[in-house]
Amino acid sequence: MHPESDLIAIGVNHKSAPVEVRERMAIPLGQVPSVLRTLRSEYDVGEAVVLSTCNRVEFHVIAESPDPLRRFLVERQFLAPKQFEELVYIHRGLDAIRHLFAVVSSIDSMVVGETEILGQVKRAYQMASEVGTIASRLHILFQEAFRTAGQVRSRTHIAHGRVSVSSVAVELAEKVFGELESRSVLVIGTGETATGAVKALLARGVRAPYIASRTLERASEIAALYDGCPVVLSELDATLPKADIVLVSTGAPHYLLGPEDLQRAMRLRRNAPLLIIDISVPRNVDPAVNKLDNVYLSNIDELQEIAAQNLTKRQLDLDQCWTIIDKASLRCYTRMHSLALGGAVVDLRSAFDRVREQELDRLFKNLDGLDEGQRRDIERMAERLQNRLLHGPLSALRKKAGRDVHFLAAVKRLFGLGE
Amino acid sequence: MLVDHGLMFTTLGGYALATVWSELGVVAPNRFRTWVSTVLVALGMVAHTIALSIIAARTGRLPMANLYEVLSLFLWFAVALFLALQLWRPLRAVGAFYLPLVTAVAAGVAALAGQSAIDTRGRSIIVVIHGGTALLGFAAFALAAAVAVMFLIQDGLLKRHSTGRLGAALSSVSQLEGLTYVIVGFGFISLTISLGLGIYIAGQTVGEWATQHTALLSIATWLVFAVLFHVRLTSAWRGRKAAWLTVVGFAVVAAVFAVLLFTADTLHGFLG
Repeated sequence: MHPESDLIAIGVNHKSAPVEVRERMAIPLGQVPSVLRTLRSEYDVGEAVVLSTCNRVEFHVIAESPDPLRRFLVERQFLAPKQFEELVYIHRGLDAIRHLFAVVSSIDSMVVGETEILGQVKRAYQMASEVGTIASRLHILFQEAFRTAGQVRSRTHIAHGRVSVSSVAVELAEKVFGELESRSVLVIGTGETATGAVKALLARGVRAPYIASRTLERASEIAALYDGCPVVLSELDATLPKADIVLVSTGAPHYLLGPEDLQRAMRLRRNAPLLIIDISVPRNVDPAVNKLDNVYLSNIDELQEIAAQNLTKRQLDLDQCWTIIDKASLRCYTRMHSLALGGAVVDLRSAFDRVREQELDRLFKNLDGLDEGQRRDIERMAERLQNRLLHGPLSALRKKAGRDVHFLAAVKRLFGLGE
Repeated sequence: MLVDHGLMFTTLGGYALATVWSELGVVAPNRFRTWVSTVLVALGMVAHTIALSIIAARTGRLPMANLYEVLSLFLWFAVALFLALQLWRPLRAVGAFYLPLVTAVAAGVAALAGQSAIDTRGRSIIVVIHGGTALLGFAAFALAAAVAVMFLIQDGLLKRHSTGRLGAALSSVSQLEGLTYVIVGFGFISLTISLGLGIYIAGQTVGEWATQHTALLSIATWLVFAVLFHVRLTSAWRGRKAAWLTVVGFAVVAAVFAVLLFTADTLHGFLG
């Protein structure tokens, strides 16, 4: 193994490569174990974890250099050689640690603060553990990465507030109703923008929605997707009082709901709270509706503004996130090198022991007449000589390797360890 | 200083600290802060319970013989209801709105320590129940008012599409409105019992309950909450209107207490 920092992170993400390249490089979950085995057996990679998501494909390895991974990606036709030079990023040592910590903390994600990446990295780590391509160094690295991600989330606002229109809509519903389980939803119109919000609400446990459209046929088609109930627009008056949450997404150029419609519905609902989310452009719900007691109206502009404000708040915290990541990275780097230090001390002693024993064997072969006592004296002298010669390097190694991460590499090179 | 007086100051300290933690919990919400606040309130409650028990043991009667004791009992009910609510249907940030009032009342109680008490020998159990249910009812209205204020704030934030820590710290409007109604209902039943017993006692003692201004003010309070209960039950008013009525009702309750402090009538003179 190369004595210099041998932790390498190599890959592409949404910033470095277009989606077509990422698609080509993507490794399906079922194929990750065989890729890991191949890297270890055919490309001389010591430890390896493969992370493949919709926005990134990364290899975190212990290797002599990035060359084995370059060969792997080119030979297996994930990338052309020129693409590798242009699109792939390579981090080594402390930078590789810092990069991984940023990825797991969702700082490097397309949506800063998103929560999926932590689960994806944990899954990648778990797979590598099962295949057996994780040993002590990557184990330390990933455990520290998960710990750091937890610190980033708890000590900053990076994960606070929702940043997509759908999730802001759900957050709004939770502010009105608390738990959303068993709440009823009415979707007016079949616009695609409502789909995300409907799915997000269904994930929170709302009942199967009413889907209202101009024609029963169209309403039935969309209702079938959600196991919901189709309604024709002309029957809206009867259905509106049954809904706790109303999503409006049509292309109509006029208001579909006004204060009179809502007053009628609220009487029938016994004035129970009602949330209306109007994501149509132009608006389909008269803004005057918001003045009614227990009726809460939000339109697409307001939702987008809330999402943008939340995203800005997350980004304001990025500096603090990087401070946490930088400290944690240095701590992890030192810890990984301490592990290497222990190995280096053992290797150095072993190397000196080998030389001592070889020279003693040669000496005793040439000196036949030595008795047992004389042999023991010579062996003890050789051992003392070895210990005195090693004392200086080992003391310096223990003192400096934890603080000066290049010192260890220099000692290894000096004594030819790991070659 | 008697032991119960010392314990009241301990109680005050517990509630004051709990208030601080609750306010911090609104600025930077986390479960630990909520837990600490609730534990501090519970510890204050324990000290308070011991204090009241000492009074009862020392005097051989329930503590309702002067303003100090009555206010102390009111405080005890107020905190007991708060803890019961937190155990049954925990509301986020309710301590931040309710505990300042609790702390203020606790400070008043601590300041009144040492007040002389009337001779309550011969006082019937009906009088004790009348007093106890009145205090329980008033405590429920105080808690309901705090929850109603939280509703008004959250409702206003939602109407204005406001984002920020306060909106995130508060429970949903649905929960706040629903619980206000339940607490008001509980207080209303308690006050109804108290009022009924009070009119009976006044009739037996002074002959004309209508001459007792405490009775008239209590009826006024009862009427406010009767209207509120009715409109909420029929769903004629929900949300903001009902919340404002709850707050007005509590203001009437506070007015009744203030009047008692300065102008006690025949039957409630021991409170002056």
